[in-house]
Amino acid sequence: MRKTIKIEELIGQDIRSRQNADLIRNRINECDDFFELDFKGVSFISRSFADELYTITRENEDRITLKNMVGIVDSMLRVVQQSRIKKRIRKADNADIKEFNDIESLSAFLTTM
Amino acid sequence: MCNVVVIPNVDRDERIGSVFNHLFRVIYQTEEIDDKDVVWDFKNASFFHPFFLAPLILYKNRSQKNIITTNRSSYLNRYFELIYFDDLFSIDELSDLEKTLNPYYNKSYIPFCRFELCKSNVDGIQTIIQNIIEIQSKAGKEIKTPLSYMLGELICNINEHSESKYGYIFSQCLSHKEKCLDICIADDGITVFGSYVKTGKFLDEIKGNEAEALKLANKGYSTKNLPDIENRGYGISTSKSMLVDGLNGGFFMLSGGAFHRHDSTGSDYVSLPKMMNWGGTIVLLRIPLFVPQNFNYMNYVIR
Repeated sequence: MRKTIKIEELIGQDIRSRQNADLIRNRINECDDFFELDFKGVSFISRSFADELYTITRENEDRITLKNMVGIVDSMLRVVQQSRIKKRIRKADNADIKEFNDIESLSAFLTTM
Repeated sequence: MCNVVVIPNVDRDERIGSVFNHLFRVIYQTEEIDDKDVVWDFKNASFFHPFFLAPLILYKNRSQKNIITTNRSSYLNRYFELIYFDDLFSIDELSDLEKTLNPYYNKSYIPFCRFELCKSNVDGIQTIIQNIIEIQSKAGKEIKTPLSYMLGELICNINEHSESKYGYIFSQCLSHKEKCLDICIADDGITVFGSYVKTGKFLDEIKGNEAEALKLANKGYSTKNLPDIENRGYGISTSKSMLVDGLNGGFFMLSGGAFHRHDSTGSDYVSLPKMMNWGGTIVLLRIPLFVPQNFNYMNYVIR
């Protein structure tokens, strides 16, 4: 039997926090049924939540399907999917570390901002 | 011995974080006073930049000193009352938050808010606060997604790594001259450096240096990756890239004994003098009110 979890009802329209994924985990761990995660009405998911969602779907790929993944929700999950496959490339940041031993020299630096 | 600290009139923050020049002095002078009672004299102060005010409130609230304020003008008194300068606005229930913030829709700022990280519905809090900020800023719907993304990731970061009981948020829209939204997010946690030390991760790279820890965090080296894949650590780096490269804004992060600043003029990592240490982490975001026409948030969430 396939059960539908309406994500908007379970979590909300805008989903930011990583911990929200535990609400889904708890529901699907209650039984061995098949689940459809319905994202109808969800307008935003954060990258962090998408990362957790991706982990959940991978861990339960034989019994979870996703529905109504559109707009930001869809594109954020795709970004996470891609980043799990490709090696991360970081933007170079060559800024030096400046060290100050007293408040006067720090103040002089801050004044020249 | 004199136990009075004169609070300067800090009404500008030319380059993001330059207000800390004044804030560090106030903290230093306050800490140097032997007396438990310290008087903050506001005789010279008429307006405060939000990036000075927010950390000042936080410092005052958690200082071991008994800080008494004096010579506050009636204007300052009224403003301080509205931003909860003397008693932080503690968010307990979402319904209370909505009720309390209702009168702020036609203002340019919100109260200095404190929320309990583990117990609160942090997403619900952010939804209510962000809704007010968006209306106050009149920035249009283009700002909604980047704002959701940056606030969401940075608050999530506090939740995941700081081990702080509380998170803090303050926002003020400076729509006339600076034409930007200035947002401060903070915690009283174990600091970025402390998080790496506690988990024992990247210690060889950090070499006991707090600024190196900030650099690693800003490059996206997370303490919580899955064993076989680098799936974490995107929150700060992508938010910063979206803000600085995409929106032409400014980013500032102070944590323990170091700070990092990044805006269109460049990037700095600074080790503070030994006697200066901020208990926790504080992030300042300067978000321009006008989103560039070619801005696409997706270009910044990948790295």
